[in-house]
Amino acid sequence: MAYAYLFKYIIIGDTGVGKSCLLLQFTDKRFQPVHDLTIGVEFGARMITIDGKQIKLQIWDTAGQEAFRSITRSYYRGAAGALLVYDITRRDTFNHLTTWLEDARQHSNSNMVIMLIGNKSDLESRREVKKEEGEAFAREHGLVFMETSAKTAANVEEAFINTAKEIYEKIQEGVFDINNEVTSAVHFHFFDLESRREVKKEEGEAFAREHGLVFMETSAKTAANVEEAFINTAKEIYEKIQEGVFDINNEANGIKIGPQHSTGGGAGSAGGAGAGAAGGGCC
Amino acid sequence: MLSRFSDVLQTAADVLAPPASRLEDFQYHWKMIIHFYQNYDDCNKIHIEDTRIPHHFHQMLQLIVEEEKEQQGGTVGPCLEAVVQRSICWLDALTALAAADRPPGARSLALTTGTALLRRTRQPCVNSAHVFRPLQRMLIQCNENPASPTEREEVELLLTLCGLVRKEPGLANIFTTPFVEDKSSLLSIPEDIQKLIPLKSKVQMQKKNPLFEVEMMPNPMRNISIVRNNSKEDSAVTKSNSSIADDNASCKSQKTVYEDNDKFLLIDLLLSYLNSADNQVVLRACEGIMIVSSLPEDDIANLVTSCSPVCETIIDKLAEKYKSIPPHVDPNDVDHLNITWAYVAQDFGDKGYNKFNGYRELTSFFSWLDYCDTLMKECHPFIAAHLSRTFRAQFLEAAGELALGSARSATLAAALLAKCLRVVDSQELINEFSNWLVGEGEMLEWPLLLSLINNCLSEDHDLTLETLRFFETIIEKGTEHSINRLVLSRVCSRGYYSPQPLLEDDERDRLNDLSLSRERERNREAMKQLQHEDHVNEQINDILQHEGVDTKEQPEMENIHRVINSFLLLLPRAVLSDPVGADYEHYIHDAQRHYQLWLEITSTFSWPTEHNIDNTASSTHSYDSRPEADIHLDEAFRPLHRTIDNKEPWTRDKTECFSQKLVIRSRDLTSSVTEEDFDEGPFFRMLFKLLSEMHLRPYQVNLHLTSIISKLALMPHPYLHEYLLNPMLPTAKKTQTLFKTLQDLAKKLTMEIPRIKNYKKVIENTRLQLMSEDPSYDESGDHNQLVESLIVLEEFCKELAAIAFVKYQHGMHMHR
Repeated sequence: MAYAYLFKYIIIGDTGVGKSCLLLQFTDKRFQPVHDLTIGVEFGARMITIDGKQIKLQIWDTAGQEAFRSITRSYYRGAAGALLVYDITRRDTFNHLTTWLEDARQHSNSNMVIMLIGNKSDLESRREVKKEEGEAFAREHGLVFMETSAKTAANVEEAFINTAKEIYEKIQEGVFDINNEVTSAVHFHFFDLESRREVKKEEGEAFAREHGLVFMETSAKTAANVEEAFINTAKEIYEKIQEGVFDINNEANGIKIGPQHSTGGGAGSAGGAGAGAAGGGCC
Repeated sequence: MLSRFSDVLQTAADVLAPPASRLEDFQYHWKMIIHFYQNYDDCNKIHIEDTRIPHHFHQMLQLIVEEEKEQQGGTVGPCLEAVVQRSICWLDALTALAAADRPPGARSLALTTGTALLRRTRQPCVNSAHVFRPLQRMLIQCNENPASPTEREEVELLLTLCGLVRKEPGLANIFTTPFVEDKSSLLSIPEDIQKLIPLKSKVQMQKKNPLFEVEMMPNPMRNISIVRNNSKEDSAVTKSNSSIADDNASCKSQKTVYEDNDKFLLIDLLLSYLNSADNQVVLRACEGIMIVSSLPEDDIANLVTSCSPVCETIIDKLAEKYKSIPPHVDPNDVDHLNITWAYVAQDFGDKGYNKFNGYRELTSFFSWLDYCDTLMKECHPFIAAHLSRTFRAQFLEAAGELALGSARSATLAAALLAKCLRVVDSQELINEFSNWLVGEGEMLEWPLLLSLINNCLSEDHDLTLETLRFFETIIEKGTEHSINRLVLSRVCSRGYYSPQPLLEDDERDRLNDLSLSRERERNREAMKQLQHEDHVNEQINDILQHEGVDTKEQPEMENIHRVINSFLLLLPRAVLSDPVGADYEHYIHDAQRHYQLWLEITSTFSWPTEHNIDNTASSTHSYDSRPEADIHLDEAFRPLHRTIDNKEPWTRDKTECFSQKLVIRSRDLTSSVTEEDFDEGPFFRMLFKLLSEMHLRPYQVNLHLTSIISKLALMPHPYLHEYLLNPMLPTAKKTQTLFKTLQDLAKKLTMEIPRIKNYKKVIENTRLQLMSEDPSYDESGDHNQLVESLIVLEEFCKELAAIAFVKYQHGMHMHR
């Protein structure tokens, strides 16, 4: 089926928080109380519509157990969205969020949209983590937050779709450059150094993340002014040259260019003079 | 009313006959299964799903899961205990069903039931022989039939076992030679089971898998364990039943020597699924390999590398996929690919790309490469070392050199290898890659490197372009070794530097050139004006003083002005496409960003420090070639070396020795370095040659060429910096430098361009077209290559000026 975009999602979080159940509920609209332990990755897919555009969600459900962390993190790359899930009836799954978040941020694109999900909201009587705590954590780390129940399907659709909406917005804003966007044969244009001297995007981001602030601080003292000085200097040099040294009208005359320069151009057309001389030599 | 009545009935029934215990339930389901098979007619074609067997299996599983929830302290409940003790030989029965596949579908059911049992229970007691023997048997019997319809179930079971090994590394022992009994016993069903489940095995024991061709010695006395055991692991079993632990007694010793016929069954089995046509099966096998390889135990890592061909198989597969890429793939398509491992569906990625030629093969290759790379990053260092060696020997050297050698495929090969290097992230693979490219040991002129350099100089622009991009990647991914080899080996000797007498010759030469002297005059004039511009200099001085920089260092500042001006004034204004120079900020920001990256990349290199660059820069302001300037220069150099001496003796040792060695080497070639022309080496020679011929080559080639040079100019190495970014550098007459090359090119262009009719307009239009994002411009043949190269040069000069400035700025900063 045709789609405008394809978003890769990953579902991460401690073992037993209901990651596989969330996926099953979202893709198959059913709940399975007993679920086998996930070891490798499990895939799910569903088509959704945002803004009249067909979007395919390709969802990677990962293993939550610590033992399989090496394999789980190898799936982070290239994900546009992540559902970070904890179990509201188990405090420890909430306490581990920071580790998961660090892991996700380290191994994935920094633009990845992360949705924090407190699952098993149907088990209100056994609740150990207050909704406000989830909200606070999300606020603190810049995540979107939602409580869901894979069992009753409460908020499950919303969780997946809101994440998609946020990714979609980022694409509209141009923040996101997802894999499948048509890059066609974009003309390399020289002045856009980003496209020409493509330092790996991740490197740039990592750099900005790690050093951006430090760098800004140091440069605020000195660099800004020095830079201006440099720019102004260069501009002035050009202006100076422009002023007396060059006779533009002369060039526009269209009289034989080579020799014309050597005489009419004066000191300014030194290059032209050279050209004339050398040209004469070879003719 | 009715419900109350039924309650009463139930209570009465409970009193008369109490509800069955869980074990009794368990036994009931088991008996029903036996009963079914005792009466089973082999001719019956009914599918297993239409029998009660799946229900009974499901119930038995449920009972085990439920009882586990109630068990305290990880002990084993009575149902599972019955299985582990083999009083209910459920697992053997599953194996018999898997072998016979009766009723049809029984194999798949047996495998998924086995998998579910292992995945749903916390203590599946796999280290008990009554558990692992049937599992081994099941795996081996299924594996005898490659491409079986139950591949998925088989590999899931394998992955589950890998998962168990990951959590309890001692379990690896049950998949190594002494614990894998001789094959014939594993391929037969125990007699008691045959009686219980009287099925003729449907499976013909074909020896299709060469893995099992090896005779395994039936040697029950060899109770050696390869992997060190954690004694805690069998505590759960011992708690429930001490007899089970007997099997584990053998796991206590440790073995370090491997014999020829030692096998690591788990990995070997996984490998046999790598060639499946089903992606899901391959994925599971890959995950299994990754899980086992990432175990921190040295013993297991040794086992993986010495007792299984895992590294070889994985890399062979990579080479195979490389070879299957069709030869007429467009190198541009290669560049645009963005592939990670694990999910290789038809519609993955942009649908537009599905259609291009070779998409499937390219996807398959790069996906596999990503797997290798991921595996490298996650696996045990022993395995990583072995894998990277294999990568070089079996992929790079075999597939790569072959392709680079033949001229026809060289373009695509360069594109593919460049892409490989770009996407590879593990440091070991990058190292192997660069060592393969630039060579090792004493030999400086590595044949592969030389042929790549020659390819750059080819008349075929596509080949030049792709090979340049390859070099660009090599530099981007630079290791200390590759950058030394490629770029620094000659420059380190500082042989390009040649003081006064030759300079006078040079100067006389320049004076003879009327145009140059005029240009210089003009520049000097502009510069004098500049120097008199109070506010600029005062501004800079203010800043410098504010930062505590001594005013004595003012010449240094003048120097940076000169450097910048030399680049910016290289082309006369008449031919400039952007006389206003609106892009400086962009270039400065860019240079700052990239310079920081380079500082980071090279921070672990044993290069002379940044601090010295300023000394170097300040010491070579002999633009006017006055004698006193040169004296000053010579004096300035001594302290530079002293700084290195005092500050970092280890750094000095390395670099100095290295450069000394090269001086000697260069001397072997030319009798004396300081008096003769400097040999810049094949790489720089190629770059300068291409640079001097920019007007003859297409825009794209020139972009990548200048991109490479600007990257080199960004590198924080004092000699490289001086060699590339100091236009006032005194050199021997014929010593080629970047600035001289640029001057020559500028001369050529300023001579040629004004001959174009209405050239101002042409320049203006060309610039507009280059800046537009119109892809059709690339395809149209209507290019003015000459003017395009002029614009590239103009922008390149701005960029070099920005780089020089940013490095200077950074140096001042460090100085503080």
